[in-house]
Amino acid sequence: MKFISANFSETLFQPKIYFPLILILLMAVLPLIPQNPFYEDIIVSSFFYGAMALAWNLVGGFAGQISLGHTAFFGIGAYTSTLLYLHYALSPWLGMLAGVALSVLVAIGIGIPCFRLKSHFFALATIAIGEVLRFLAAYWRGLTQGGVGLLIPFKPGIENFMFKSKIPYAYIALVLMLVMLLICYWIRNSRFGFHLISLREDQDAAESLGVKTSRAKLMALIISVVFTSISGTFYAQYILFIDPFTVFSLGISIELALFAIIGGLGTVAGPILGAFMLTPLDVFLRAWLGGVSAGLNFIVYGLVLMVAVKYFPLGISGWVRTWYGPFLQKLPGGRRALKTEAAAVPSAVTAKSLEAAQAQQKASFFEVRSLSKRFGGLVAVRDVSFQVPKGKIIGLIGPNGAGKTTIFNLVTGFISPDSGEVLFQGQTITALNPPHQICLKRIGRTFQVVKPFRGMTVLENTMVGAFARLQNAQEARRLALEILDFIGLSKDHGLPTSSLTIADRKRLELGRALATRPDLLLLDEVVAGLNPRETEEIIGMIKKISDQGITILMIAHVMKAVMALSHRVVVLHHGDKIAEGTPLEISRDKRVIEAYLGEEYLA
Amino acid sequence: MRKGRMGVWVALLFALMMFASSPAMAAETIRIGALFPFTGSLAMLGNETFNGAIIAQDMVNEKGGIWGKKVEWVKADGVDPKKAITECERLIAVEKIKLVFGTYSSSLAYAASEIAERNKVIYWEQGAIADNITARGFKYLFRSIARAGDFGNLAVNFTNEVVAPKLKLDPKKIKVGIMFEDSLYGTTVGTMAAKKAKEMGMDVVASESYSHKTVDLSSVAMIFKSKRPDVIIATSYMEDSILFWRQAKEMDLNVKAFIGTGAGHGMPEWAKTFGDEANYIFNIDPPIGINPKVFKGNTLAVLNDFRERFNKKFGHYPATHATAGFMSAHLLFEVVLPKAGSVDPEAVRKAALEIDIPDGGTVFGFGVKFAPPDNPSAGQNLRAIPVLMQWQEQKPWVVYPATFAVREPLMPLPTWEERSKGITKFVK
Amino acid sequence: MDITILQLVINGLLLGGMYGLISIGLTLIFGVLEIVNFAHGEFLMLSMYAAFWLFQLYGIDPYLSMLIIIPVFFLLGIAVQRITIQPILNAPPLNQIFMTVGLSMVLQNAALFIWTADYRTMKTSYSALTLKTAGLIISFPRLVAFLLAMALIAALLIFLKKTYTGKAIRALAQERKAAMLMGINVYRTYQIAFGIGIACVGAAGAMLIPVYFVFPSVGSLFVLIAFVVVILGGYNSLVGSLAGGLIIGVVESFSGFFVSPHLKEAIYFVIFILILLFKPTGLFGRA
Repeated sequence: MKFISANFSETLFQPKIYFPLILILLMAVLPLIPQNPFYEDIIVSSFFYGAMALAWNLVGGFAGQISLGHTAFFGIGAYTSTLLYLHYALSPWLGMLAGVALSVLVAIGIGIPCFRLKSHFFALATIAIGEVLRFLAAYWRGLTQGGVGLLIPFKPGIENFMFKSKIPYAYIALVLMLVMLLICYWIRNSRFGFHLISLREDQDAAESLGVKTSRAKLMALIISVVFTSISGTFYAQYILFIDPFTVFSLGISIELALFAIIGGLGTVAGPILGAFMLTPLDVFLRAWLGGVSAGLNFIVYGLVLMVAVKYFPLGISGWVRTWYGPFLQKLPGGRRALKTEAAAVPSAVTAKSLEAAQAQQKASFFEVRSLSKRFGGLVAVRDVSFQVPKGKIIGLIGPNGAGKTTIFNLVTGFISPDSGEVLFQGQTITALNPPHQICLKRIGRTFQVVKPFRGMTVLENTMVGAFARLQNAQEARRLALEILDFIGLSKDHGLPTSSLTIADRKRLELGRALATRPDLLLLDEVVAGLNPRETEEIIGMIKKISDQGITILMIAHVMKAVMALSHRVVVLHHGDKIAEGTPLEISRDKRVIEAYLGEEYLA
Repeated sequence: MRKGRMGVWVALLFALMMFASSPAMAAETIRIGALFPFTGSLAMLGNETFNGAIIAQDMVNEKGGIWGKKVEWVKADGVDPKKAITECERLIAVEKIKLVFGTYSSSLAYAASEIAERNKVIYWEQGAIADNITARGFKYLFRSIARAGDFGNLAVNFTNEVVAPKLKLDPKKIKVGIMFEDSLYGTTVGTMAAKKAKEMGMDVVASESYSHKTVDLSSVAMIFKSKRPDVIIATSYMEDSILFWRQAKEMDLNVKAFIGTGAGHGMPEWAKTFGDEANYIFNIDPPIGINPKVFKGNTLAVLNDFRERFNKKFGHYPATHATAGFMSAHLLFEVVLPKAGSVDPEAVRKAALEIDIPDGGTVFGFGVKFAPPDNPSAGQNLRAIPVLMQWQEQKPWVVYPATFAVREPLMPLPTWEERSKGITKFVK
Repeated sequence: MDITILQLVINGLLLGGMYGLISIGLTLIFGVLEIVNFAHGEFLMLSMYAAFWLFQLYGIDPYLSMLIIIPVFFLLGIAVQRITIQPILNAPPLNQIFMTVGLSMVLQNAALFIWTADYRTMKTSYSALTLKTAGLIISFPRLVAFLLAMALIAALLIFLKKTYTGKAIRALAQERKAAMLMGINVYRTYQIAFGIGIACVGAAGAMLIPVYFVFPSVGSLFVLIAFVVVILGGYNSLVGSLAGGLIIGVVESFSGFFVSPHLKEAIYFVIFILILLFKPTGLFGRA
């Protein structure tokens, strides 16, 4: 499939390339049209809010971390550059950089601890941060003049980042917005973007696929903060008056999130749509209704918000998307864009996995020693030990509550054991944490309740896995397509995960983990909930995976699968290992029968 | 497709609103911008102030207007400084206003007047008192009432010249406690009062700022209780002034004199809320309720006319804010604009600078003389002063300076216990 | 100095009692339903207006009008939940936050439109009544609010433990799917829980108006405090909400006196952040 064509004009004449370029050109011309500062101001505000909303969307939309404290960085940017300019005559361009540095420091200081919090709590924590900064700015009069605010004397000149006309401001804001847009676009299609979205959808699954979630969130925050801080400086230089109540305002934080959500959360250009629609709307509503009677314009604004949240959860982008594709095709050059991506050639999987398999010849490939874990009064796992030899399939069975998934979670770094060890290829990996490190050691896992990334297509889901070993998006795509072909989902690769059946979702989960190219694959109930035909298919697939040298440890309830696949079986009951042996042996073991199998199976 | 059609409706509505908000066809009127916080937390006094200006408009329009044209307000809602700035720009650029009248709040005035100056549009400030508004050498800005510094100075001077001697306290040893809310208004008055008090050698035992959004001021009351000032000088808006006084009563905080400095302590609500407990508080405000002997010519008649009209139209008699709105608008309509001959900013500023109204010539009792641009307080009405009044019998009475006074100040402030028993122990 | 400290403690506890009272409804809604209701402050504002107008127009004392307000607000809560929250129960938290932000904007400005920005306050015989013992001063209406908070929590705890609906609410709070399987009518239970939460806010407003005043944006002052209290106390613990309120009240009282009245709010926001970071379940909450 061709992404970047050798022929430049060929690329340029695809509607999906040139149409946005035309829009950008229109935006570039826009500031010159009104010849009227009031309308020019609306344009400046739209561009500038567009840039900030894009920046917010990186954290709130892509990474799913709802920050309602972005005003903190806006204010830091505004105050830093302004104070440096007023006291030391430092050009605001340089002061802007100082503001960025300070904002980034604060972001790192706050971001790192706060990211641990669940979404509601994270939102509240960020609100509090913005509020604290406002109180400090109002209180610390010696530094900020407190509530009096800071007025910047009007001395137009480019070195002072001040202009008589609004037009230069509009262009600076436009450049800011376009740069941010480009960054968002690039991120969206890159490994980093995939990581962000995957961690937004399901942090555990992302970790299990090798995504360093904390680091990714922090990177997103830092980029976001840089642009928000720059916007703060821009604002100070545009309005020439700042005080704690206007630049450290919860209202600003909410507005940014508002633009993103109305425009389309997590989309690339959505926030721009939101900013462009709402900024003029606010101005006109105020002019039209605010004069008529107090508060009417805000009532309308609030209703718009509520309606949007209820009926247009995908925002304007969601609506645009329904006609944008067909619209592009109707434009000149549209036909060409219809070329479907070529089917990938399944090749790499077999050869490379075998290589990896042959590289290691340790006897004790994977071993669990005396693993124990209690939750309060409940002993989930008690002194369990077993080995998983290389290249084999080991089944882990037991009645509900036996401790099987707990063992998986202990082994893959989601919980830490009270005692015991886990060894893999000679290395101790006990309590390796966070879970992405397990993936980096080439252990993959699936989850009992499948965790597809809802915001992504089947292919994109698989690509997240592929990114565990690959940096380049094209290569990841290629590998993902191979894997999908292998597990039989290639015709569905462009579908959203919500349209998959349960069986297909299980397959996707499996394929995703496979894409990380593990040496050891931990499967948690991949077979459960499938009908007999689907069960057969997946059994076949697991066999094929094993044939390629990947070692498998699988939890299963469906005896058919266990018996058909396992070389050996480990049986747990109430946290203890009660039996171990070949499938035949344990099917005859009295203790196992008692605990689990039931008389019928023997017959 | 449903969503597609919805989009068309939204777009149509949008276009309709844009059309509706464009400036109306101007009849032959004089269009003057009115930039006030009509909505938001400052709305109450913002609207009250503007109502005073509306009466001035009524009065002049009844006479056929100025130069035969009626005065028309073009309203702009400056909820916060940023919006004040953009609204000011809208007035100037879209509505083609040459004269902006406003603003009640200091932070709004400070920010928006910069825009007017840049565009060489007249900014006629009626009520924002922060000193820095007129400290910028502006040529097109004119403020008709006194500055925050004047308020703060008056509080300290009164303490020095009247309170201390009357209560037989050494002015150099008198203990002063200062409290102020944290926005531009409070910070300016409060810090300047503290500065002046220290300059005069008084013992400033506490100088506390607080967030105007606070829901509790017991901390300030407790600090004053422990530091025991003789006099408290307070700069608060409506909500915090009421909150504090309630909590002062709860905490049994007693001082010998309590001096408010405008805003909250001057409002009719003060007496309405506290009844007799509002009595004996001092407050500094632009001069209303002053000794009628101060007025010259027909000024008193104008004042009374204003008051009656206001009561008729709005259901209550005007207090300081409405009067400030009226005084400034009246000055503009009756003196400045007729003299200028048009709303052209150059003509207006020339006319304004030529004005020389002696004391007694405005409804506030002071005169008008605007400082020229080279003066450190460019645009300030140098004859504007605040006066100090005291609530007695639930009404405000001017007690200082003597020329404006209608009553004697009564001191010391009764303790809460004395109040509950109706006892007062005023010194003669 | 001793007496001052004690007085600071008392001031803090009484202030905190009010904070706790305001937050009980939020604990129920946030803790049980995991709905971030940013319009919480606006419901408080509405109930304060209700109590005010009932007093102004019909002379009904707030302590009595509370009995009218509580059932009315219960119904109001149900109505609001059905119209605004229910449709987006499964939406991401961001959507819920913004639905309630929009609701708060609408309510606040509708109040502005109808009742103007004027501050309304009332004077009852007990508004400024204080009890004085041993040199300490205790505000009567705040004490009543404090006691009411305790009574309300006790009543709610009994309700949650003993009645069917109460148990249903608790079940829902823990595990929605299982609760559904147990035959609990999820939607109805959510409505009732929300209704009770708003009814609590209604009671709080009636208690608040004698000592405070109402104007359209009074809610935005209190909503953040309520969230701080709820998180501090333990977002799913009713006792925690009172405890959290008391702690915040005392912290505010002391920091206002010893640090600065200007920073007292900032200080409890910092505490808020620290709690979120180190013990997000709060002091009394369960994970």
